[in-house]
Amino acid sequence: MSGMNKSVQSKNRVVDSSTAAIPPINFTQLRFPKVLLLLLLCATTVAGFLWLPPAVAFRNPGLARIVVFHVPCSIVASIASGVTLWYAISYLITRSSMDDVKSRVSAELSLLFWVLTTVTGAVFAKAQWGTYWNWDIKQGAIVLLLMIYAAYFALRSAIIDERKQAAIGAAYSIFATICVPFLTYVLPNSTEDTLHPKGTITTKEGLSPEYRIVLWAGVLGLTLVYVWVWRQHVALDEIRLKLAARRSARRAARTSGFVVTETE
Amino acid sequence: MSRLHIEDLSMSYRGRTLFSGLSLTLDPGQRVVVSGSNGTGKSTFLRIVAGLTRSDAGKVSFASVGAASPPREHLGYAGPDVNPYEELTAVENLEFIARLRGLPIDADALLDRMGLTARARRTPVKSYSSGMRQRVRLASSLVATPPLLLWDEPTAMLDEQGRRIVDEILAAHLEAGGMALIATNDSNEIGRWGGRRVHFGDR
Amino acid sequence: MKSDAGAAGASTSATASRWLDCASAVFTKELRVELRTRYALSAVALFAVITVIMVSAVLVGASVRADVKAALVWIILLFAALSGLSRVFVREEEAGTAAILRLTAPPSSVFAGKLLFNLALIGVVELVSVPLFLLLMPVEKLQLWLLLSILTAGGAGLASAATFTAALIAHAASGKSALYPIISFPVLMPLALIAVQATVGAFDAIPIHILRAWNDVGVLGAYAIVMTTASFLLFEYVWHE
Repeated sequence: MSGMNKSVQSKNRVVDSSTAAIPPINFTQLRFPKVLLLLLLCATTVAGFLWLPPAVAFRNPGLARIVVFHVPCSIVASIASGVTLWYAISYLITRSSMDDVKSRVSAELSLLFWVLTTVTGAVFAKAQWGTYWNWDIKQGAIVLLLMIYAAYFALRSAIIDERKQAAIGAAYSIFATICVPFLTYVLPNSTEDTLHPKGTITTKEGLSPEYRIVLWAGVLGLTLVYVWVWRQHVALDEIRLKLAARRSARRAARTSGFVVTETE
Repeated sequence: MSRLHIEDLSMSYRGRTLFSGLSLTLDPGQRVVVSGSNGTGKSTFLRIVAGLTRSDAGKVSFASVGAASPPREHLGYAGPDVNPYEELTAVENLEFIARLRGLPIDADALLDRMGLTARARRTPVKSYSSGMRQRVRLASSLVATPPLLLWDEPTAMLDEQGRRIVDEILAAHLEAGGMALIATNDSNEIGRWGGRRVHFGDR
Repeated sequence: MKSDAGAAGASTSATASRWLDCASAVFTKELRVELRTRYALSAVALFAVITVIMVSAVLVGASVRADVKAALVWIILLFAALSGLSRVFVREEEAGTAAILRLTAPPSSVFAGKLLFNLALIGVVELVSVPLFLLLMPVEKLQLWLLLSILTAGGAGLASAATFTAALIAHAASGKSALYPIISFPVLMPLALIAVQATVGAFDAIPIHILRAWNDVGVLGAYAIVMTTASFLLFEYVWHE
């Protein structure tokens, strides 16, 4: 996990050096503390493997350490889904293509983090409870979200016109997200059927202090990774849009494409 | 009556600029012929005025006497991209449009004027020839006598009699203070309807 | 002041009656086309009937539990719906007739007319296929009123969600029929799970299950209301694209 981040980071540093001259006025232009982020991610990874004591309450205490990766992934994925929804609504109101870019990029990242959550969760579930899957509320919601985002990209790729793509995609992501809460009604929550413990990370007695520190450090680190990749990707698409606009403006300046004549 | 204002319209499609900065004003009783080779943006221009396609910039408005109502109520559009319902008869097609517009209609009289026989009017459109379909399209655009006609290649697939009918209807429409934007490539028609003309393509 | 309010009231009621007229015009148009082509009936209802017969033939001699029967009923209904409910919008785009509606009718009235037609279609499909299913795979302690309530509330939710996804899919350039189930299933998954859980109660008649099923009917109704509202709100944004 951290190895992957490292390589992505070094690649993007090259991109960033050219834009470093921009004064840090607003939040979106702020230079990202990438070195600190790298250190934070390394520290949480090392701590997760080496510093954390085995969790004695679990059947496989050694593997319980995976929660410090699993839980942050799910939290970041939820944030990404929220951002997707927010900019989808915003796009339908403003019709600004940047809002569509923001929403789509966030949907891509949210799909990635939901997959990571599912994989880490399934590995953990197999080790602790002897089954990869058992349809409790959180697993059900994850499957639904994975299906929604996969369908979202399938739908977008089937539409040729870019503005149509944006509007239809935004409408679908809003419509599909609305139905998710209904799933939480029907699937078991906090009964003996469910694998997920309830209130572990929010209550005081749920986690040992070491776990709590590493877990929340992981949440912070991965959230920053999400924000950073999202911003890079959005900035890249913004440059693409601007280039396309400039190209078509130059062509428009050469010929306006029509001529009005008046005879008689 | 109303007046059509087209201000600073710009449109590009898939990174290619079709036109930009197009402004045009149409007074009652006026017509403008839109010409240009295939793929230069004639149809797109008409679709934008009709509100079927969103333009990149600029606006289309009607300065009408009395309360401002949506342009939808003001225009009749006929083009190769708007087909009648195949399963319905010509009369049913027109009656459906009239019901959506909330106005009564004598569909038979209108279709008679377009030169469709009484028997044809009562058979489903799917058995029509392309020329007959075109007559239904044109008749559809005349439902509720809108002040602005937007015709994309109105005489395509029409025979000599059909072309004459189109000429007659257009003349009567302008006489009554209507306006028309007509896209065509027929040099005969450009000469006949001529006057003001917007030509798309290279200068 | 008073006359102003009166005039405004009159104009809103005129708009409302115009809206209703448009919606009913679209609905009757759909009905008339359907009566002439029988497309939806042959696609959706026949699909359901044939699947029911198929399922009962495959399971002949097997003892099928009530909860499995409940799941089968809803899987058949869902697949039948997705085989033909998209037609109301897809056909308009493919035949090039959608512009007539765009040029003349308020968007929400178009959606209302189409939704009404799909509701009627789902109703017919349920009326034909569910009795046939119960005939071929009898349920001993059937709770009739409960089942009818589930079919009504579930059918309404199914129709409204599937009609909206049909409006989205109509904009796709190709592969509409393959894409329709793909984008509809995620939206319909909660509905399917709740409806099956409720139908179990109607089939096995265990008191706790019946109690839970009546609760589920309420949730199905809520699903239908929420999805219909969302459809109407979002439809305006996707129709004029």
